[in-house]
Amino acid sequence: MKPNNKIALFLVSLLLGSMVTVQFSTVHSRPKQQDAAAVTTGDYVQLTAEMAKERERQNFFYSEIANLEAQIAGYKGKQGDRKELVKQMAEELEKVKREAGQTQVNGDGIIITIEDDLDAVATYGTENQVFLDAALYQTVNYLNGHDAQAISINGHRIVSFSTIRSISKYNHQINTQTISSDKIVIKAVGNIEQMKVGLYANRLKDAFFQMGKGFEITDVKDGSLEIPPFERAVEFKYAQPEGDKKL
Amino acid sequence: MPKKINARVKLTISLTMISVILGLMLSMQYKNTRAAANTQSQVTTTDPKAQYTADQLSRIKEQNKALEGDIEKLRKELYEFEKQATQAGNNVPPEVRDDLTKYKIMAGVLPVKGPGISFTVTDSIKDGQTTNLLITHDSDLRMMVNEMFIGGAEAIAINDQRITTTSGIICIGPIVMINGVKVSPPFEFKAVGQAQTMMATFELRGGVFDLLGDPGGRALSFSKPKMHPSLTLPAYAGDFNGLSE
Repeated sequence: MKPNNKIALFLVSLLLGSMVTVQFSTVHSRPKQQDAAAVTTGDYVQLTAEMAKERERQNFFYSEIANLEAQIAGYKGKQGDRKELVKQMAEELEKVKREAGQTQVNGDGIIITIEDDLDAVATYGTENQVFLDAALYQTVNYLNGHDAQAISINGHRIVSFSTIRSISKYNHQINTQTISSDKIVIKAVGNIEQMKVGLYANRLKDAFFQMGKGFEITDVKDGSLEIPPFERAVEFKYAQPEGDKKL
Repeated sequence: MPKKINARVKLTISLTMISVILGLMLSMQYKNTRAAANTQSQVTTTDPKAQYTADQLSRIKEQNKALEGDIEKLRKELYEFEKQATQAGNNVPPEVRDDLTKYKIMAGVLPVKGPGISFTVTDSIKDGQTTNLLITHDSDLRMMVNEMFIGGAEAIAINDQRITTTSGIICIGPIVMINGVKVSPPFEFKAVGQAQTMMATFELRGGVFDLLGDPGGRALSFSKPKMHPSLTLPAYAGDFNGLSE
């Protein structure tokens, strides 16, 4: 090989080597840049909202753990004492029934009245009322997402497995029971301001207006709002506690 | 002479190969640099306040996860004590425990298992771009939940968040929260109940799944729903919006 060629090869190899090095370092340093890019001022609002929720949850978790430990200690201490055991289980049952929607709930809250509105009917007609189920379900959803503790629609309590369904423009069902759509009354006990924020932010009034319905909210601040318990017998055919036989 | 030619050919071949590799490397390098520059141009400056909150948030989330685990353990222990209470020697009527179990499942505070179906849904990627119309909204998830219950579900969880009496699925900006906890796509649905009828809701023309998955419309991407002989859903550990306090 001529010296000239050798120099050429040497230079090319040198260049290749440095290219590989640069390439390697670029590939390796990139994830770091992305990490640093993740948090910006724009994220701050969301982070704060999420943080507030997590703090709230944590507070509850601590009190719930204390509560559960006390209950377990109660059971340990009452083994063999029938009367005391029954009493403790009755208390526990009352709490669980309340959480499941099986007891009446009283308190402050809002009443939403949804009725035919002349202006709305003149503008949009009533054809869209076949989608009333979706609008009602969203209303329930945004109420729950904004601190509602108990909700009923025309006297039917909303529970974990509640369904809302429009069979036709005239036939609407809550928990598989037909309701009259002439006047729909949604009652919700909970944080009045928060619930209203949820309803306004998601423009539910507009959604109902486009179905020919008015959407009026009344505050109840004297604790007189009553939400009835779930009305039907409950039976689970498929769901069972982990590690247990069928109910 | 032939020897010389041979050496020359060898040199030419090796030089050609090196040049090809070099060319490839150069173009890759160029592409990489461009991509890195693009990422960097999208990056606004990191906000130290936001960074601090993000760090705190991830810490509190870890703690909460551990606390949720503790609660689940304690609830199981409590459940065992309740079972024992109805066994011989204590004479507590078994109906009390049956009611307790039933309403715990209904409220969602007990992990459950049973036959069911699972599927995932995620944002649509139409024309390579995800736009506001094509992302999965809180209202979409809620309508799917309603549809599954109509179809025979007894209990549902999305990304391990159990649907309870007071569950809300809401968006805060671009993030979806269920039970006050952030969940991200893909959204994994698990439903315990009558599997056959739940599967049928996917076939229903004009039904929720048909409309949301319509390639000409929202075009959300659904995985093929799967039937399971036994699925386990986690329990809810929250405060029912203050109802249980």
